[in-house]
Amino acid sequence: MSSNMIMLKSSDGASFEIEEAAARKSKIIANMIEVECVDEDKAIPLQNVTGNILALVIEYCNKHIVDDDDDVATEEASEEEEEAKKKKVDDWEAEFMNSMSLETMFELLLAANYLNIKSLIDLVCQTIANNIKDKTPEEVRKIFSIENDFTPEEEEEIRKENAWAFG
Amino acid sequence: MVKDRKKRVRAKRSRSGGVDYISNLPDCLLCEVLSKLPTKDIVKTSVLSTRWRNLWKDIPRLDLDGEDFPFYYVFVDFVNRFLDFNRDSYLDSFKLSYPGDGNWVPDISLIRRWIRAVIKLKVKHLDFVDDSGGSILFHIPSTIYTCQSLVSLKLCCVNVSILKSVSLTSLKDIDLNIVKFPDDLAIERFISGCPVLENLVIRRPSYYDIEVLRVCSQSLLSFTHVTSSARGFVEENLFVEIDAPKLEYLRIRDHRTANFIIKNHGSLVELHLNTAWNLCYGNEFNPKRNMVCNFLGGISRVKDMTISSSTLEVIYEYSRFKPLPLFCYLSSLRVKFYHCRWEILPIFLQNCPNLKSLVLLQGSIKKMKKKKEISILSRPQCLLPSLEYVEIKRPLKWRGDGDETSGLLS
Repeated sequence: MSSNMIMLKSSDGASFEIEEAAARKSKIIANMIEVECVDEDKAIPLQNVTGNILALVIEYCNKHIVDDDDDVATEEASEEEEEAKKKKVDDWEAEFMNSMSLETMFELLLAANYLNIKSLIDLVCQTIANNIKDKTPEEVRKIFSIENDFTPEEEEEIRKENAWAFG
Repeated sequence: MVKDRKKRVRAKRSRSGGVDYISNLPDCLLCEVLSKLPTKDIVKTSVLSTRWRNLWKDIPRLDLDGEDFPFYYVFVDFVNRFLDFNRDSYLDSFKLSYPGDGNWVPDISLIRRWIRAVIKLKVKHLDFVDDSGGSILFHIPSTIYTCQSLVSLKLCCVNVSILKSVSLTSLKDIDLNIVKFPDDLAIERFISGCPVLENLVIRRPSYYDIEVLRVCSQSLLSFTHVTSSARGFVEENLFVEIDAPKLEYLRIRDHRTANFIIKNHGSLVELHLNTAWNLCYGNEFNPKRNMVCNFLGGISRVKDMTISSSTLEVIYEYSRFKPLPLFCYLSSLRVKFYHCRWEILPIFLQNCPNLKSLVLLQGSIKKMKKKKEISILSRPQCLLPSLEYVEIKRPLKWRGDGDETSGLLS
């Protein structure tokens, strides 16, 4: 594995050093590296990501570098080691997502989308989806501060359309 | 640092209360969130606000359990509408548990129309359960066998019709649970028509089952074969042959198959084995010796094995006639004991010269005879100089764990 370090610069001017292998989790950055747009001394400017969010993205990427060189690792590892490893990652991800506010979570999702990090998009979307699953519309509105702009008649109409789902 | 983040985040939360971030997401991300939900939850979001009113119709996935519907006709109507407003798009996945109308038989022409429709929509993941009463009457329409978009196919309680030609060029995962095939050749042709198949799970029906199952695949990586308990009064001679040179993972939980043959077993790494090759009490062992011999030869290169005591019993029986092959690559072994006879274990362990991890799992509620067990395992260091890790798992209410372990490691 290459231990090359590259620099990333957030929209508010903060610089971060990150291992190339971790940065490659982002398809955008990986592409830049492929076509050699990356100057060794210059930081890659990321216009749409603030420093506090970029710090989270980097934390996530650093934690997940190992996933990519799985072949050699998994062949040797026993099922139990694998399970333990997976649980450790799951626990870390749960704690990671738990530790942030809704606002941060949505900023992180937009950043992951901009940087094209599929697994992070999946993780955040799954976390959001878990907050919708098995909840009533009233509960979902409350959790995400969604304002109901239907008239009572309109709402009644929509509920009728698929009454089975609201039963 | 993590602590810092938490503090900062908590402070923000109180300030940022009341902002509707989720509705401000671009449609593509909102749909990404919705696509992680079952259809019922997706449909419920239509009432949140005008922003959400029609979003649910843009999710090219159906994940429905008919049991969620108060009436059968409401269910049918919803699926029809769903297919109708998706008729110009591609379908990512279609997962349906069909409940039937209460008459124990499925509406065959209706399901056939649905499945044909989703195939036309180039569905990638199809998961269909006929939960209408276990009649296994529904024949999957034959257009499915040439559906080029299919990546995963999961079927339960259906009939696979006579297959003329099978060409499933994208299909990687097959899971067949209680699926009837007309004859031995049909399933063989089905599997060999999937050139990129990687994972195959077959849970066999207990009635009207085929006798010979041949799994020949150049691409298969993992295979699970499960049969339900023996029917007892019926003499069976099920035969399973696996010819998959890339196979790495094999799981056999089987109480009916009398004959397993594994060909081209060079890449097998992980094996879960729970079968007694249909050798019940009183069954003659002698005629099976060759088969067991070939089978053990076929699995002797695995690195990671979970084995049940009933399989070990047969291997023990076998070892009385012929020496066991060496399991030189085996480094991790889990043994599941039901109604244990611990004396069958050391014979096997003797042939695992490089075993590093041994875990004994007690599957039965029956109490183990501890004293006997210790005397059996008291000299394992002679058997297993390579052993680094031993664990004995048993139900929680038992005390005194650890003695055996220390005995093993001393």
